[in-house]
Amino acid sequence: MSWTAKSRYGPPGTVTTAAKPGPKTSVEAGGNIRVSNGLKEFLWLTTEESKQGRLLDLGAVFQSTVMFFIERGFRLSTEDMMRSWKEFLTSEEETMRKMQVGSEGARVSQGMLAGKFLDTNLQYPEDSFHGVLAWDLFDYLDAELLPRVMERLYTILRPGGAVLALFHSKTPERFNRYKIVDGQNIELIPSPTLAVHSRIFQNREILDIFGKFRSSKTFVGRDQVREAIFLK
Amino acid sequence: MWRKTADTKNPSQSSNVPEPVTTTPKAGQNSPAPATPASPSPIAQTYTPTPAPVSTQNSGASYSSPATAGNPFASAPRASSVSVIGAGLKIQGEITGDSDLVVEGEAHGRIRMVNGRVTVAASGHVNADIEAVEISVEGLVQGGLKASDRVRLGPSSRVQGSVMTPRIAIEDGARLRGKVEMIRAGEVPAPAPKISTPVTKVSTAPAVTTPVTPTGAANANANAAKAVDAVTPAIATEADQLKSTAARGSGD
Repeated sequence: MSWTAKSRYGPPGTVTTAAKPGPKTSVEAGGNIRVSNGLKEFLWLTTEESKQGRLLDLGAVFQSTVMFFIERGFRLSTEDMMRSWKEFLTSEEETMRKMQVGSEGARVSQGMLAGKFLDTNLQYPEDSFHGVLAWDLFDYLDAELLPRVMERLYTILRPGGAVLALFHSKTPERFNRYKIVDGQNIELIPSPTLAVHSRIFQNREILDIFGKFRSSKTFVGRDQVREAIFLK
Repeated sequence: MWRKTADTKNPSQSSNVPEPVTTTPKAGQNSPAPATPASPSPIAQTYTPTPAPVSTQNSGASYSSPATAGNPFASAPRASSVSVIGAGLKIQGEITGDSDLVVEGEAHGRIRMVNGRVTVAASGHVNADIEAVEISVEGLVQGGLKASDRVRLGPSSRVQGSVMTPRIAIEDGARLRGKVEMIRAGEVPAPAPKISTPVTKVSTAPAVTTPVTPTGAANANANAAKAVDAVTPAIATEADQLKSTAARGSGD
């Protein structure tokens, strides 16, 4: 499927009060809710794989998201990786401040930090999950951590497992977390900025960072967000 | 609304001394003094720590966490007694019993309150698996949560471990690193042997060594009591916490 092709479901967008033809707009009122065809596809893929699939949510934990999956028979694990990464960096900075200038431990590269972070995070057995919800996490990870995370995700996914990732086509105005409303809608929750938006990936770059995965589908939204599904 | 009445604090006590907690101040009540309810009231419950280093159990007072007040998910106050691991107190070992338990300090090992509710206050740090009827978390828990009725994760809660419960309430801001499994009501925890709770309420300065007074089966509770040898807060660094619990959220 072409990266730039529009979804057959129509472009997702934020909530609009005026109903438009077709199933492309959310009818939820009062919230920043967008249609997510990627989520719909992700659910279809993970359900097809196993009725009782194990999922990993790398975003913030929300009641509605947890219940959504639990009620459908999924087993859900959550790990707010963005916040863990921020706290890890803060902790490391604090440690560095206490070190003497020129000491051996004061020389830390980004690669070392990434490796150290993954020593205590994303620690799951191989082939654990049928699906991973990454949301827009990859847009915020630095160049050293990102490939290591992708490698780890590939390891913990079962063969045929799916990753749902969101990529911004322009720098987002604010930092959002994502909450599942229903099988086709997600709510954007404005949150305090945990990390600076790192970069905007071109389509080719997205394919590259998912190099080990099989490309599945991409949905381009009217809000400049690309939803990508990759399979192991 | 739950709040602490700072006015009632004795200035001679240290800052770690738990303050009297009034769950629902009565309207028009001008006196800040902690009131001991003369008759059981469905609305106002007051928890008043005794000034002695070790308080008695079964005081009849109920503890209402900040988040349970006004929370539609919160259950009705229980009539059982409350044991409190006060701020500044660190306990290692197994804690079992039938009463409710509030952790404001540190608890390491295992907590099993078969017929009670476990509340981890915002200042609480539990490095243990918790089994109870209800579990409410506002602080830090590194370990699994098993509740036969419900689990509530408050906005300031941080849980690293699995959650098994028939019902769960997760408030925005809560952090959960681990898996969530829904079970049938009453499925866990399994019935426990009849062992009373040796947990004590400590309301003195941190320098005081607090002996645990086992009631009932003293030998069986030796493990829970032996580690109450110091009240020095030994808060691990964030990095240490992450290291020590890296594997908790993994696997089945």
